Amino acid sequence: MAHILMIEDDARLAKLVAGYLRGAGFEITHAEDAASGIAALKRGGIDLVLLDLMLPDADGLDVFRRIRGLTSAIAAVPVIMLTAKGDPTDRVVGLEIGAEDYVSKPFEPRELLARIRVVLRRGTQLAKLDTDILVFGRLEIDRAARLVRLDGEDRLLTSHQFTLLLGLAERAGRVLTREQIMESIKGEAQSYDPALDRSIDVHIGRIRAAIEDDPKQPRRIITVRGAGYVFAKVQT
Amino acid sequence: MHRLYVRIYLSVLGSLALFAIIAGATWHFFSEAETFGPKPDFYVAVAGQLAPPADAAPDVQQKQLEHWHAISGYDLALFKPDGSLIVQATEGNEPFPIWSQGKSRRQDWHGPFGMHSVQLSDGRWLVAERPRSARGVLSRFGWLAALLGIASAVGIASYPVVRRLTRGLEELQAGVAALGSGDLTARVRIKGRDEVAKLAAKFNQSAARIEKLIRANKQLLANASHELRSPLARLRMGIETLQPMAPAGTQQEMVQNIHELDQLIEEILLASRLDSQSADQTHMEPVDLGGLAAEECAQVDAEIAIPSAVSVMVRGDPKLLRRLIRNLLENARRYGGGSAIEVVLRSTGSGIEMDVLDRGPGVPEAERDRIFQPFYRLPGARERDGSVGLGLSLVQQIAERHGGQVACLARAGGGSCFRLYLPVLP
Repeated sequence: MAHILMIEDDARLAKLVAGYLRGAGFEITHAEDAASGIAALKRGGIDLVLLDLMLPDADGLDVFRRIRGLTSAIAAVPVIMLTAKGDPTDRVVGLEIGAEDYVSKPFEPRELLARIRVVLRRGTQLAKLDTDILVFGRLEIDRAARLVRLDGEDRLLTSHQFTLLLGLAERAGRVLTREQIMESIKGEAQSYDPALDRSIDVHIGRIRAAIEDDPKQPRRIITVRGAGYVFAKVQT
Repeated sequence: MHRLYVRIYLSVLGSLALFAIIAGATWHFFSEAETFGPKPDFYVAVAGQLAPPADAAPDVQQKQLEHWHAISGYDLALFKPDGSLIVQATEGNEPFPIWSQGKSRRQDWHGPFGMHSVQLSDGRWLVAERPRSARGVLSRFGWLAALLGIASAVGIASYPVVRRLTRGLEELQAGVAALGSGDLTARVRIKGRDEVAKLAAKFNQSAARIEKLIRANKQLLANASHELRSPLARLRMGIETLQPMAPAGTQQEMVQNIHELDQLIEEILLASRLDSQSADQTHMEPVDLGGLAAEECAQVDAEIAIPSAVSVMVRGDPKLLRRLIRNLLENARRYGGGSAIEVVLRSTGSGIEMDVLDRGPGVPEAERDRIFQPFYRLPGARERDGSVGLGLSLVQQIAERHGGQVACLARAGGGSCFRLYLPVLP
């Protein structure tokens, strides 16, 4: 059972989150300010830190730097920043200085859970590069293991379909024509199957069935009439 | 020649020149009028008494001249009426400078280059030249030169004074310009205790106050976002813990309301941030407008088409552009009467056009400009769906910030067409 330290000055929110995460099988310790948070971290046994960006006694980014500045192995603990959209120190800053992830308030509880799971999994596979797992909201694409997970559950795809999905996901947010999608598959696939070209829409349909919440109203792989497909960069 | 110090300095020089001209003219006039000193006749009479008699032997005349030379220090010479030298008494017995009769304008004690000549009653000329040590200084031209010297000295000396005076103003001007362009820490140095220094002090006070206010405003914006979202986050978590007890529909409704409230907060904060931020503070990067539009369309089940399959890259802030597209779609969803929403992108050569189309009641022609004003709502539109009338105003603000524009048009066959134009990536 993973042990999560939550450094958050809003005690009422912390209580709710703690209850929710305990229900999901985590052990939670709550600290209301930076000083007690770092003290709790030093006591050891923490697998992940949820760090609020605005604390009464310090800026969340400073706390983050202090954690990374600790001697001993504790310094490498994965950190998820809790921000509010529109904070001056935007989420991007949190990622730039090396936080594992960020969740912005008001967050979807399931999204928080998914991100915690991803970061924990990554944390236990230190040899892996961060970029080996692409995360889009609740969806994870594990390049090394060639696996797709939604809400932490594996979704089954054929090898071709996975390659196609990866080709889309690596250029998330861009409108890709069928030709461009084919190019990315040709580059990676062991053998080129000409039938794939004709049946690309069929394969997209299959992938949607595997990864969309409602395949009839796709939110992850979106059709652009006259052009091709877009893999959504921002997903929930 | 528009600079103040140049103009002040030129007027100083102008008044000096005027002074010199008037002084010279006055002196000339008074010397012409011979107001100063005895009349020339007096000098002629005195010189006649002192000069050796015309019939005396040359050595007697010589002695007499040397006597007066020793007393006065002046070089002296006697000339015949025809201009030939009779005798002379000079310093070191050097030859007397060539003197031709009548070079002096008058038979008086003034002559060119420090020479003075008098025609005695017997027709001889007595010519005197100033002692070597004093020569040249007191001549008529010497006075003019002295006058010019004083004028140029004053002119040169006044330059730094004038320059320093206006340099204070220039520094002040630079400070005001820096503050105006957004550097809130701009202050000016205060030198001296004159009006310019007082103005500079006032400017510094005002700048400090403006800086404080704007910082406070920024702080408020930053904190407001965080403070307003904390209870929202609690609500959202709270709903999740209700799961086994509340009906799913009620929960969904609550989640939707929280989402709308969150959007509203973001719009209000974004509107005030856009107002207080200058355009160059916008973070610009290449953005695939088609991709952004497709993601947002998927959220509201709108159909998106790029008929010519062109590249639809623009340069902009992805967050702001996403907000722009979302607001247009949200607007179509709210006021489109439940009709299908379509989004069409195309390239116009210089830019990209994006149409957001619905088959709703449309916007009356007279209202098509006004709907982009903040807090403006169509007459009859109810306060519902969490709208405060900022959505379209934000759309316009963001479009203009990216060098583009947005317009509301009538759609052929009924409904509205919101057309966004953005310039393409340079």
